[in-house]
Amino acid sequence: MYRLPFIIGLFLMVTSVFAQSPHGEDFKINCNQCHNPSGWEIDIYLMRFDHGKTDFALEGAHAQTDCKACHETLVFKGAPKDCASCHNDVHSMSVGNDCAQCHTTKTWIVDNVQEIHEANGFPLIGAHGGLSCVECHTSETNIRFDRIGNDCISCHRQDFEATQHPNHTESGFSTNCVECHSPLGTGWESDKIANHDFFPLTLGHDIQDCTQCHKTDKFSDADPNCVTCHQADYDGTLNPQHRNNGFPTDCVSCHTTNPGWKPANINHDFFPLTRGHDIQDCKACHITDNFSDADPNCVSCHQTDFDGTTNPNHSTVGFSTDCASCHTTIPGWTPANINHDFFPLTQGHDIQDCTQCHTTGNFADADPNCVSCHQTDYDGTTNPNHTTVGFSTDCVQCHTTIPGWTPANINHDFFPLTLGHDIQDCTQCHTTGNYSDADPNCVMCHQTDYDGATDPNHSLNGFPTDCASCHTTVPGWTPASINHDFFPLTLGHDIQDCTQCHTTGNFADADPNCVSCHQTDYDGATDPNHSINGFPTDCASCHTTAPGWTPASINHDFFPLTQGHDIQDCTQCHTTGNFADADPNCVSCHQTHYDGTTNPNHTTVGFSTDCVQCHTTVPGWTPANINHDFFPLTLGHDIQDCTQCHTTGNYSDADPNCVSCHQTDYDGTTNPNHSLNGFPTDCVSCHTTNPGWTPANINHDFFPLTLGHDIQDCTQCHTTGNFADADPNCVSCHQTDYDGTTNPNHSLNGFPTDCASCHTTNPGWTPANINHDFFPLTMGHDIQDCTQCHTTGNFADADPNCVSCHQTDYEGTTNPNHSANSFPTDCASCHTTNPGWTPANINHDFFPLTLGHDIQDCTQCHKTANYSDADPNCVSCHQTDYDNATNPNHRATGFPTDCVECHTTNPGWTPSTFDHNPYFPIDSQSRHKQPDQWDTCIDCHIDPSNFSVFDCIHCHTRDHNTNQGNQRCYECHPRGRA
Amino acid sequence: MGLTTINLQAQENEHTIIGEVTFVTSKNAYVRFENTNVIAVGDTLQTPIKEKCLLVTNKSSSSVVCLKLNNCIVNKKDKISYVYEIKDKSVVLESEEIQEDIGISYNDSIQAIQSKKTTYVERIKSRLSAASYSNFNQLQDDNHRLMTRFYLEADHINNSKFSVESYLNYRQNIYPKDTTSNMNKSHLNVYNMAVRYDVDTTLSVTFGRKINYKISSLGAIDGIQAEKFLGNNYVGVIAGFRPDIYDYGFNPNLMQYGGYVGKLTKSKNFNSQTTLGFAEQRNQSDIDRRFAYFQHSSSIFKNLHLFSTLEVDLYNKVNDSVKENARITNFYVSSRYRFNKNINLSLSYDSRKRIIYYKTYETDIERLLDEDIARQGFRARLNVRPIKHMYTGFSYSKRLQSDSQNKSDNIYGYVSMSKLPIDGRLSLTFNMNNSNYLQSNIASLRYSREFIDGRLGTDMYYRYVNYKYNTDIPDFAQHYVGGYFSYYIDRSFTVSLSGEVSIYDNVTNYRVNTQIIKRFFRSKKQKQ
Repeated sequence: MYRLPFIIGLFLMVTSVFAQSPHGEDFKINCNQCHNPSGWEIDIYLMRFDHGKTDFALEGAHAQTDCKACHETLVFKGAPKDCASCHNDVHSMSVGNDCAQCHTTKTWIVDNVQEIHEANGFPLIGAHGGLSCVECHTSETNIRFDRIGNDCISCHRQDFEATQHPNHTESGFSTNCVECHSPLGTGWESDKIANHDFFPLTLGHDIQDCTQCHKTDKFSDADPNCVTCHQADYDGTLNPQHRNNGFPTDCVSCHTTNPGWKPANINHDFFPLTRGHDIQDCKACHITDNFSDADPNCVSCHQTDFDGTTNPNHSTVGFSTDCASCHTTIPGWTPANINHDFFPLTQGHDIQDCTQCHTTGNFADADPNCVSCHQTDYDGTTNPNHTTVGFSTDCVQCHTTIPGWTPANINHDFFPLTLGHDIQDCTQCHTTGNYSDADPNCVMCHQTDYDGATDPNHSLNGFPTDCASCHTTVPGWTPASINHDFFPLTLGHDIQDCTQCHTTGNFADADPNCVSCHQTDYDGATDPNHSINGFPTDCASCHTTAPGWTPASINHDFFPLTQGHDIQDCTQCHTTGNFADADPNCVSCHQTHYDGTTNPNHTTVGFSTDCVQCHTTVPGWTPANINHDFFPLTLGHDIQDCTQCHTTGNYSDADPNCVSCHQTDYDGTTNPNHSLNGFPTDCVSCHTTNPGWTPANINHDFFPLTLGHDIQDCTQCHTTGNFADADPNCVSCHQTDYDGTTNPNHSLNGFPTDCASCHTTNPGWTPANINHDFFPLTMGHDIQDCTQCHTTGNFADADPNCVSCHQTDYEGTTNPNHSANSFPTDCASCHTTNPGWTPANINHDFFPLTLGHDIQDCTQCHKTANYSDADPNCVSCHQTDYDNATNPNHRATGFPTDCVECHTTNPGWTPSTFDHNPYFPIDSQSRHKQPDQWDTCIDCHIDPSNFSVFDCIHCHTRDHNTNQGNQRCYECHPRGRA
Repeated sequence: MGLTTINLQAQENEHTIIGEVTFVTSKNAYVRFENTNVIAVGDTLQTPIKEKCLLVTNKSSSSVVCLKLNNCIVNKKDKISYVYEIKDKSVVLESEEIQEDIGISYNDSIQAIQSKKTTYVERIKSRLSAASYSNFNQLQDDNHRLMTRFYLEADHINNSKFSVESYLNYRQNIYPKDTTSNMNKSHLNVYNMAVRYDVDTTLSVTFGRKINYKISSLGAIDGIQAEKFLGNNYVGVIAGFRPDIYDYGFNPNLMQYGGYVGKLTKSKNFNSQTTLGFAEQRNQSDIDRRFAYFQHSSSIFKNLHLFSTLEVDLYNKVNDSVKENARITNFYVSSRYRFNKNINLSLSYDSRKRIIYYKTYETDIERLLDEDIARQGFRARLNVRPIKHMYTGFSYSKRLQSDSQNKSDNIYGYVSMSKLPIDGRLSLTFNMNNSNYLQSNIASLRYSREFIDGRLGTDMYYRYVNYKYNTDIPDFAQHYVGGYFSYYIDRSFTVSLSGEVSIYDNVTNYRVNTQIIKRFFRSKKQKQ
């Protein structure tokens, strides 16, 4: 009994370990994705597991790497994904830790050097395209990428500073090399000086020899001023002589860079040489050698012309000596345009006789004021008398230069002389000789008219004396427009007899309130009686000014009088004399109708007395719209006969539940029998209101009716009247199919009766998917003929053990003879399912077949048919070798028969190692290991056939124990020392 | 689970392993264990009720062949146990008396025991590659480069405490004869060649040339490095020499030394490694550089990853005047946030100054200090997988110096469809860059496809490049057409060929690269 706890404990531990996986708790990959039946060893070429389904697809060299290089344990989950987790940084942290920026998984060799540099703003083009990495990345390791930067000077500072022709540093050249050197070039040579725009090298300056201008190595020494190079040209020029003429030394002011200094465009714009001045003979004006001596003033050349002119005498008249003020450069001095714009000589002034105005010899003496010439005209004018009236002496205020002084336009706009005022007789208003005495106020002339007006009496009515407020200048004072807009005189008010309203002489006395005139009309109105009904005295609230007081529009919007209410007989509702007595509630008039209605009986049903809830004002009370939305009357419910549902006089008695009306239908239905099947009495769960109860939609989702189940004939499954009787289990309907199936025999094989585990609802039971994963049908097992293994009608009879099918193969195999050798009958321990039984991997690790043992001929060792007969001890095969060995003689020497103590499996028995030191030290530390001495066994072992025999005296002389043998030497000198 | 091994400790030194019967014949039974290291031929196996049942007559690394004893009946899948006793001399250390005699504590003895139990597994990785780079240029001379690389990482050779690592690079330039003299040389660079000895699992000593990746900005160290772990904390020291600054060879004048401390943090939602170091580098007897170094990496809630480094120079010497003020020479920080499987965002910022070695650059110190302006860079990248098999992304990066030099504004975008209806991957990229002197617009189209079960990889691409210079250089366009072919002969052997034609104006250039890579793997089973 004491063993029982141990057995139980052992069992539990074994069981628990079986339930575990070495790959972690949540490892869900099927074993056969990686392992095969031959054992747990992994054959990478047979692995089916797709690493691409993880979030770390194996690409490039990762696919070639040993799994253990990344997965340090069998718990695969959690293997690092960052590059730096597995790969060491040989770049000394000079490029960060993201290897993928430069490397791919294919190889560590960087193949996309171009793209990496493009992404850093330094494309490898031109001379940079053929460089080796180390020519720029010059660290001693060649793979530490110190920061360089992408500016040219980062690498080319030494080139820049070392360049002498020209000296870039002293010349202050840009350190951006591409400004002068092409990045596409293969060297520093450049077919262009990149940016000489500050001094364009065109035409004669395009000399290609920099040194002609840049005479020093310092290019910035070159002076951009023209004379720094062209001083000699300037000095030597005689036509014209530049130096003496004071020409500017800025050549470009006259010359281009065209070779030969021509054309030379002298800018004479300061003195245009047009027409008579275009004489091409510079000397005519530049009479000295100094061109700047020439005086640009006209008289410097034309003094004689000026002085000699007599018509007019320029000198005497005092004309300007600036000829251009009157003359152009057209030869002959004509036309000469005197600018008299300051005093236009138009019409009467265009007299061509200058002397009429310029009465003295000096033209400037002429006075531009009108009276300087027209004083006599002014003084002599009598109609009107300009002097007396005080008219202005500036004639142009009224007159033009048209001869005869007419028309004379007096600006009377301040007092327009229209119609009755256009009298042409100034004196009627300007009664005094002084025109300014005239008073612009109307009554100054029309006081008499104002005072004498009696219809109406202007004075008495206090009319304004500003005639223009009512009258125009139309003679006869008519029309006189009185602004009566404050009280429009329309229709009945357009009576033209002011006195009817303005009963007093004072028009302002008239009262604008209606009753001030219509009190009598108001009081006398009886239909309706305005006074008793309290109608407003503001007649305009109901009446217009149309005579006869009609139409009278009463605002009855508070109670619209539409259709049946448009009765025109106010008294039907307004039964009393007081219109306000009328009650707006419907029943105040329709109580009789409400009470008398029997279909339906409003009173009994409790209908609202507010008629408008169901009725309009259409006479006859129809249509009457009852809001039946709480129970929509659609399709079969749209019966128009309320009594079918509302069977009592009280409409609220009607029950909205379906069976309240359809109990009979429910009870009487036999296909299917609703009552028996326990169908819900809520008809809408399956039916609509469509008459005939169809279509009826039954929710059969709990058992989808797809493909072969879509039979439309409920009774095939629901065989009883009670639909709930139908069993959802497959065999409830398909028991016969199940029982009758012979290929394979389902019943016999114990197949599940749950058809869906293999079949779909596809008619014909195909396709049928059998889960054969418990015994994968791969390669040679993929035979498609079930009967080869399932030889009986019962599929469960098939034995998964290999020999159940392969017993014949097992027993018939002779090379090697499996049976005789007691090979395991578990074929998978050596074979795969590959047809032909090859490759067959025999685990011979217990006796590694390396080198000389790799002989491929099993029978050399396994000499009997039983492989287990083979003895792993070396001499079982090598006894003869052992016995025959003569150098040394193994047997005679007593060497061990375990060959591996001295030999490897290398053919030829070499190298062989024998640790001689435990017996007698002959290693390099020993005196008995001397170069070229005692280096062969027979030096000591003088009998090659027996290494147990050795001879010391053969080499050593002895002065003691001379009668003793070699064994005696060894006993005293076991380590070979004295 | 066909096989399971359980270690049980029934008594203090008695252990049991359990195997499963995999095959039974009339005479024999095969039993499979996780490994059979502790089983010897002639041992007896037991049933779970401790009946001696099977005699081991032969064994392999995972199975034993047995003869049935005493008419014992076993069936396939039966559990069979093997009980053995551990004979470990270290147990004598548990004697209090001896502990006192040798002057070690109980904890030390436990650690010593664990240390003795520790076994090392040989694991060797190696890679040998040869590559050629050839440019055929219409306007310039053709040039060719040959590159050979050898990489070796041999951990615990023969399951011992010794490890070797190496990385060599040999480059041969073939340029026209009339080119500058320094371009025709061949170079052999030894980046790594070191031997490591693991004293125990917590202490290792390395000798030779090696880059210490906990303080990687120091570069390679010729000398000795030692590192000790104290739980999750570690401390390291270095002493040796800096490689020659011209030929990367050994230079005994460039002594350097320093140390670092660090801490690892491991929890469900936070993993980190933080290192703080200090180093001094000399040239002859003068101080060349003295600086402190900080590096931190962490993963927070598995979705946010941070990485940062900081270097602060602590030594300044100008005109014989030494100042020990701090000067930040390198600062880098990056973060990556994974919103979900389909979206991640990366941000990084760096500020870098030129490293000044005061003795080495003695004659240029004033100029270098005048130009001592940090070049800063910022980069943001968003990767999105909007639908299955479609990847797109956008990045913006900016570089500049405070004096507006070395400016670069870069906008990059890509769309990639990894599974076209016609098979293969199609990628479209666009890059727009703006520097002080140039604006470039680059668009590329790349189609990749694999054949022969993925062994043959092919790429074809076209790139259009448009350059606009800020000077009066006319705009010009360049067209690139290229292809890449790689063939994996097996998992360790790859050859590849790539070619590219670039055309602008009437100038056509060709670029041809070839590569062959051979990888080696070896892993030895653990010794008992």
